[in-house]
Amino acid sequence: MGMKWAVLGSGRFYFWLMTVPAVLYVVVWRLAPAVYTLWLGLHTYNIVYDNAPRWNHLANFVQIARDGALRQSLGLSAKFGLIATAAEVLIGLAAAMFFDTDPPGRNLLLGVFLLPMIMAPVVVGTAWGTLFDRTVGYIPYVLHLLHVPQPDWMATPGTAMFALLVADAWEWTPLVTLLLFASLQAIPREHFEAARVDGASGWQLFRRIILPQVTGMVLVAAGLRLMDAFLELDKVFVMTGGGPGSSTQFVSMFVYKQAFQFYELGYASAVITVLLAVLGAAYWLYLRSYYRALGAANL
Amino acid sequence: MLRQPRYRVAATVFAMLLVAVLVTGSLPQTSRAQSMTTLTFLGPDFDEWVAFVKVANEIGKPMGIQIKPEYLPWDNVFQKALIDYKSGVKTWDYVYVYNTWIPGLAAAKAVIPIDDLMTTPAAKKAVAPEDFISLTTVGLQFQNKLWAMPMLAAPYMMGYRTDLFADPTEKKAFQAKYGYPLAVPQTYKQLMDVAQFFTRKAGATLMGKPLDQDFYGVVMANKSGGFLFHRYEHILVAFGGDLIYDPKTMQPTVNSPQSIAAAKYYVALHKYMEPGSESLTGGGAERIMASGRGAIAMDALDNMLSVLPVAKLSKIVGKVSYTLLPTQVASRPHANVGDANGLAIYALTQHKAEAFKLATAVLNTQGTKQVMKEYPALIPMRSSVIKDPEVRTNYPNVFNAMSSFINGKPYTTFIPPLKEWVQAQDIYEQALSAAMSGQQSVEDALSGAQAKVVDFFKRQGYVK
Repeated sequence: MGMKWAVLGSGRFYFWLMTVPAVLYVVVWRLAPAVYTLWLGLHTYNIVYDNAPRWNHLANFVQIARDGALRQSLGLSAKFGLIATAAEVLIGLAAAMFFDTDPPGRNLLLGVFLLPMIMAPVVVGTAWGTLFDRTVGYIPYVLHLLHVPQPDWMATPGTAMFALLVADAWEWTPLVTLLLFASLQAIPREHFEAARVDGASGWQLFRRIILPQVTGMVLVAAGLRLMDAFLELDKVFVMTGGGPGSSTQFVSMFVYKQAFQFYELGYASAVITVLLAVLGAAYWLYLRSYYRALGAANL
Repeated sequence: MLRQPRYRVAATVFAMLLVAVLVTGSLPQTSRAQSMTTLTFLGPDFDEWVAFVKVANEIGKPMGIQIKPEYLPWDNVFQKALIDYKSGVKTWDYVYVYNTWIPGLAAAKAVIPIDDLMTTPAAKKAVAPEDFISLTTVGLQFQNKLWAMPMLAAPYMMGYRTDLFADPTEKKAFQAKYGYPLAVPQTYKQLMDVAQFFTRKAGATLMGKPLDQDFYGVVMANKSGGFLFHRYEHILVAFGGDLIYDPKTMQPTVNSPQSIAAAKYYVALHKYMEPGSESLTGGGAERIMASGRGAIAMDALDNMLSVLPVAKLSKIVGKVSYTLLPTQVASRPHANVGDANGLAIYALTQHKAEAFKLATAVLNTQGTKQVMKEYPALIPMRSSVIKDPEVRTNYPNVFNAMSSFINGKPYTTFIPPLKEWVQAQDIYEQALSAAMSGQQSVEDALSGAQAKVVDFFKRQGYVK
């Protein structure tokens, strides 16, 4: 039997048998929707009122170039992505270093700490939306007890954005912590001991030993989080609906509204195409600088 | 014969038991399914529709029809109905409709006009269109056809605290501050004064007693997604504005002087509303009013009636009266935008005849009275129900409020027949929300919205 499989394995049949499922997956689940999106982006198509897509001479892309609301959404997404990523990396690094000191009950603590990460984003959004709610929320209630002047969290642009950042950091800091904790655990303990013998301070340990050895992972974590936070939708949908006004209408929410509130599937597809191109370029630049940084570190 | 291992025997017995349970359990269901037709209803998780489903199941039982509801948040129903229809989903038989959705649903042909089902004298008699209160049912019409069985009218009115307005201390203080007697507002200027007057911080006195919580002049629901615009649109019309565009020319008028004046007024009035109103629907706002923390509520009458007079929900039972909205422009006295809710038959229903039969049976005079027993705040859309002596006696709040509405002859308009109305409304609402939150000035927000609506109308081919 084994002999037969080995013979088959060197033949063309086995090659195609093993390859076709993967090719089918890529073509059907990845490539076809992407090509369809690109094709739709070249057409005017109102999903409800148009019978079929109509070629529109790149009008969608012209509209993208002069769409102020889209520009605003892109700016808001970038702002949210950068702040959320910075906060998550900083808090995540601090938490990872804490867990690396091997505190009592570390595994239990780590398990609890990682819980938000496995929750559905919609659940996270609902929970934080309720916590910040002016009528029934725990946060306004505590602030009221402390006689702290409280803003109308979801009705003011700045505080609505802050609430989203808090929810995002709560959900995704554990991921950063997990990645950085794994990286910290890989640092040989002898490095710390030798440095301490030489009289290195805590800051010097961090600056000279920890940081150089976790930089790669910090970049990975930051890259992952930035791309994910840039496309944030679930929590925005649940907590603010993009408001007040358009102050939290990130780019994913913008696309959602175009596709499923205005039913302009053609325009929404064009925006997705452009976004994909921009994010792809950014990701390529990121990877290039990442490998350069790794190369420099190896030298 | 080889002996079977014990675990195999156990597994076989378990499997046989499972099959037996499934078979015996499914037999009666199959027989029930054979005799009953199940209609599916896509609607909002509102009390009145829960009541409707309950009554429909009672009335439908002898007819061999039952209803299975699928409740969604109100603002998602329209979207789901349209997209499901376009995608060929045949799940639904009934769809809840709100009057602003009618043009969109009708243009997409997602629901069947009731007129198209009134093909026989018996069918027409079952609908009894001559019995509808046209002031309320116009909103369910489009292109001269009725697109849904009228179920519930929701005229916008003011509910005010009679005890506050009658209190001698408050009357004296108001007179001293504003130079005219405290009374239920007849104009929007008076409404602003009254709202400002009654807005007080915890510790201040109200009717001579210290307040343990903040108190608000006016209570409203300002959640985006339709709730905000549906409260604001009455003020927009009262100030002489068009509902987003001029239907004669199709030119958007979002930043017209009237529109800007109305929006400025609303932003100013917002200071005297309960904090957090931006996340409240009508039901949520009425809970604040019912907790005794507001002087005036401006809302759909049924929203107010479903909470404020209900002892288990309200601390102000017997202290609220209902009156028409104020007036701003004399030619539009007590202006309001008509509000109607109905039951439409989904275009891809597999049970058109049964759906029509049950809808007419539940929403006729007797059926409506039965629904009112379950939901006493229901504002009927049939004159035979309003005139019914039993209704007069059992539902005095509904009767009195509707009488004052009808006798007051308010200026009533309906949203224009634009299939993209919901989208245009969303643009205006977002601008209003931006102005209320301080993100933009009223002028900037509405000018931005005007540009968006113009662009939107151009893409739809309405303007060049």
